[in-house]
Amino acid sequence: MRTDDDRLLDPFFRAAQAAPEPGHDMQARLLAAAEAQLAAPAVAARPQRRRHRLAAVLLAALGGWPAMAGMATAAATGVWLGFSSPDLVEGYLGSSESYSLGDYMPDVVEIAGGP
Amino acid sequence: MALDADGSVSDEALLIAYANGDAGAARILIARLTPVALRFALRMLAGDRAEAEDVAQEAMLRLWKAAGSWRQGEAKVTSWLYRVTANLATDRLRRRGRQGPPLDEIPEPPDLSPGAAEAMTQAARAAALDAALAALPERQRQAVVLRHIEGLSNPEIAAVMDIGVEAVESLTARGKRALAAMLSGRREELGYED
Repeated sequence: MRTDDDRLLDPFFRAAQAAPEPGHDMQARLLAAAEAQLAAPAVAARPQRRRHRLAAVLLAALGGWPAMAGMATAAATGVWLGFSSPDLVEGYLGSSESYSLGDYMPDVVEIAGGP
Repeated sequence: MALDADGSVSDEALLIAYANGDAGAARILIARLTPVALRFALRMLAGDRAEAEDVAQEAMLRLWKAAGSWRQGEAKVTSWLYRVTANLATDRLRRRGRQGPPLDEIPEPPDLSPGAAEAMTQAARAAALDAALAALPERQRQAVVLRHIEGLSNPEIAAVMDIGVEAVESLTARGKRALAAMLSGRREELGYED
């Protein structure tokens, strides 16, 4: 149902409907980024659930959140976890899979409320 | 390229193909979706091309990252893209604390030959609309743009904005009322014909 507002606004909306051409540079950058993403799937492909479970187990090992109250502590803990050797963590969890440092560090900082 | 020679492959199928290693699928998605993200970002950012390009690019980069964990059949790729683009545009506006040029600062189009004058009239109308959109509350702006420029249905807009259909209708009605009030005073100078 067209209203007076529609009749007034239609020429303005039509003028805005022309789709702009993204520049060749932009398209080239996006293609390069797409290809780069394909070449580095390891972190991106990790399922979200597994990462959070890992982080939860690590947190429990440290005495849980009450033991890490405060942003500074959480950030420092994140740094500590980041510097942990994957071998040590693997042994504790009894897992035979290896994870990169990036797998747990971002999650812990996120749960802490972000940087 | 054999893939999508007739444009019939869905965005989602292309995204899944890309996630499985087909970079050619990314090329088609770039051609299809970047103009969409860019046009939408332009309207959300008061016509600022540089800002809109940044936002559209970032939205597409996030699409590449999301491709690996894309859950089929849950949402349209374009719905996802609209939502991410809107959020990025919102972040940008909040960081810079600005709404765009005031309505009365839009420059007059110069005197040109008839064909060029019509083109400039279109450009001036788009610029005037951008200024008026920038004065709207963000959610009204988003609903109006998705409905009347991007051509989405109300249920599609509801999915993008994570609200009910009635809320979409309310936002678009209020938004259009406000836009009409702002733009009605500029009809003659913008070549508007009854």
